[in-house]
Amino acid sequence: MTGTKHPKTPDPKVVGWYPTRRQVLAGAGAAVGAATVARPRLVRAQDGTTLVFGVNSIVGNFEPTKWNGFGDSVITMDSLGRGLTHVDFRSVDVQPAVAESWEVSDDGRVYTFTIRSGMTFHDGTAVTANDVFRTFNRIIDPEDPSRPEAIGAIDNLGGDNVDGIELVDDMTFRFSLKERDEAFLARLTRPDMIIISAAALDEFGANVGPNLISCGPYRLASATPGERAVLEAFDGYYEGRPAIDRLVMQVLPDPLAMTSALASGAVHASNFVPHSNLDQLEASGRLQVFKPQAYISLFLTMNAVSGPLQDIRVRKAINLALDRDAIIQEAFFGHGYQPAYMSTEAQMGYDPAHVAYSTRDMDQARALLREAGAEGATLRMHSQNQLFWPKLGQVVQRNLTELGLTIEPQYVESGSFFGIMFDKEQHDLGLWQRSAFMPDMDGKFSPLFFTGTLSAEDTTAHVGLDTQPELERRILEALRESDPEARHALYVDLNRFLAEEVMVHAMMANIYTPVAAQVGVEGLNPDGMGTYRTFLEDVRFA
Amino acid sequence: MSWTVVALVLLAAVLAPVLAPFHPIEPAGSDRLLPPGAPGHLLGTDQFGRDVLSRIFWGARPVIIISLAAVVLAVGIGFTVGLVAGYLGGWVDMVLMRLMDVVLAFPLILLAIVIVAALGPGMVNVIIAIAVSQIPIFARLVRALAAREARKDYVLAAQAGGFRNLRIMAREIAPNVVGPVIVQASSTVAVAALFSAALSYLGLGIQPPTPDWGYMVKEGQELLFLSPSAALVPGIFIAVFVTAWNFIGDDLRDVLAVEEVR
Repeated sequence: MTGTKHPKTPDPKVVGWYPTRRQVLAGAGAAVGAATVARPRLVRAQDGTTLVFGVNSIVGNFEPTKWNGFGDSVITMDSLGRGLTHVDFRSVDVQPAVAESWEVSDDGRVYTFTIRSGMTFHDGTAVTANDVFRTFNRIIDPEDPSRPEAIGAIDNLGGDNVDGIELVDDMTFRFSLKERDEAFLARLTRPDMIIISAAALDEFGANVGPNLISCGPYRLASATPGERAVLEAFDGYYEGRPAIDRLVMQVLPDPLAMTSALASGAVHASNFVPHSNLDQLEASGRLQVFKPQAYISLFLTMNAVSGPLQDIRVRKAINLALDRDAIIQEAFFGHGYQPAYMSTEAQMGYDPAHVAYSTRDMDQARALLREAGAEGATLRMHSQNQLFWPKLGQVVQRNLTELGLTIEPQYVESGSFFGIMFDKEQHDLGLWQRSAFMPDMDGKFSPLFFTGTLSAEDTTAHVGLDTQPELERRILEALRESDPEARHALYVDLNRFLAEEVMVHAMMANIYTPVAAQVGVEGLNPDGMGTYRTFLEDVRFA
Repeated sequence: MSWTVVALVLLAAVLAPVLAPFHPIEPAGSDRLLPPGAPGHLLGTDQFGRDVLSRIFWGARPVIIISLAAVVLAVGIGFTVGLVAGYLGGWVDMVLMRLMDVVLAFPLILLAIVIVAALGPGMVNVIIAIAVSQIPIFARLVRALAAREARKDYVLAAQAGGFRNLRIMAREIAPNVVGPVIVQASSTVAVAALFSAALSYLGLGIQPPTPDWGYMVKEGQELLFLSPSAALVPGIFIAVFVTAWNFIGDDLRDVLAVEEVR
């Protein structure tokens, strides 16, 4: 070990010149200045037959029955797969897809599907009723060897209302339900209901996610977690080969990076455009910006078995304290809508009169809180720490602090967030959204309110409330009503019942996910993309 | 200059309730995203209409508390570990230094992220995370200095005089190795401030709406096209504060005439 005296001022003659920290700083400043005035190189997408689509994540696991984030479970899935039925959101009518036709029994409990003839999977094997049987058997049968653990698709299929499935013959498949379900055909349009090749299930079993073989317009070529998924046009797609040869699902989790990539042309299109930059992108003249229908409901969930939230007066006070205008302006830069209750304006059950349930009234809110003796109560509030969620949380915290509550916010990453929200001991309030992956209104009722669902048992934990039997009766009544007008009326009343008698969700805003694309990209489907459903088979370059 | 910058930031943090023209969390009015120099708002307003200058004043508090507390904790533990390892040597030295090597094997910012992700966000956990990531630096420094001192005559004399090891370490060796530790500590304050800002930027540090420079950069980043000052202003404050602490480290090194240990 030796020691050398460090000179106060470096002497080039003695020790050889080396820069001081101040000199390095000056040099760095000059470099930054030069870089600032230099014109940045414009990055362009690869070629005319490759479409680069910006997504917020790719895990590389395309297992349909489990949630792996928007990039895998919805955006890419909508190009990889097709279900028995399909809704393209240009209209909300259910259309044939893997099933070319179907029959429904008079009592509405038996659905018999005829499989489209001549249809093939990405591996070249023919689509048969056996593939359909295998796809749904792994959802409903816990003993199926190809079934992954802890799947969520069963709730979206209708839970235990599915009585059984039957392989009638090579091209005929049958579902039996315990009760009539008017949303059933729409449920089959969800991305978690896509049909998987039985050969792939034989080969990969429960690990089919990274090796998914379905029959959508594009097939999976490669996936690099955290970077991108590459898809290639499928020649055998039943509606014809897509015009775009190659889709690159490019991961850009940062909102600014996404905006820059769109502005520079590095990304052709995306439905993960931050609301804050929408006006600037639109004004640039180089991008098409779409503001589609608002299907997404944002709400504050309230744990009905936690402390003061057990009292509906406290829950109603919280609902009345929320300033929706501030939420829309500050968190979404004006790109959102005042909510009524659970139904958005584009959905069945919407009644403009219900806006009164989601209108701020601080006097009434304070009176309710005082009546309940909950002034000064402390509540935990959980939120995801990305996208618009922290902005939303700050407005909500401000509103509830003004009401007289003490809010302890926790902003955590998505995985932790869902873990906390599915454990009723760990949370009081939570910021949540419900998109309309299927346009049928039941998508926002059964999965959130029915006994046995994660949301009802643990997030709002309202299943023990006196109102639960009546709530379930009303949801089932709406599900069994086949007349659209009568069904709409039932959902209007259901919205009212939830707001007046249950109030475990305080509506915050109705929003869409903004869609932006380079000028010259045609055939986009903004209404679907606005609720995350991303059908790209019609996209082409002008 | 560097001392002045740090003194001003300290002053701003302490006097934030007096100096800040507006409440740091409540909107200062209905005008959002006002640019710097707007009437009544020297540094403009953010997307919630909050006064940026007020949030800068209040936001100095967490960065100072976290960086100083983390360094004190890291120095306290690292100094003790290094002193014991350097003086006693042998298997004690080997075990302690291999433990420190394990910690050093991880990129320090990654280590801090992992710790705070496991413990959860919040000021105390951020302090712990940053301190743990910096302990080996002090432990290795003090160990090297203590091992060198341990062979010097004054220590041998103390040992021959029958003094206990604890007394020799505390009274004889520690005062002779403290100089370089002070210099290292001043530089580590800069690192800790940067880590603190980085953790907040990643959403793992101070939770909104509490003002924090790192989180202000995160919030403003999305608005870079719309309102560049929202991210640039807190970013500049972080850069200036960190640079100032680095220069203070240089000054201290010169003043204390610290020898470079090889």
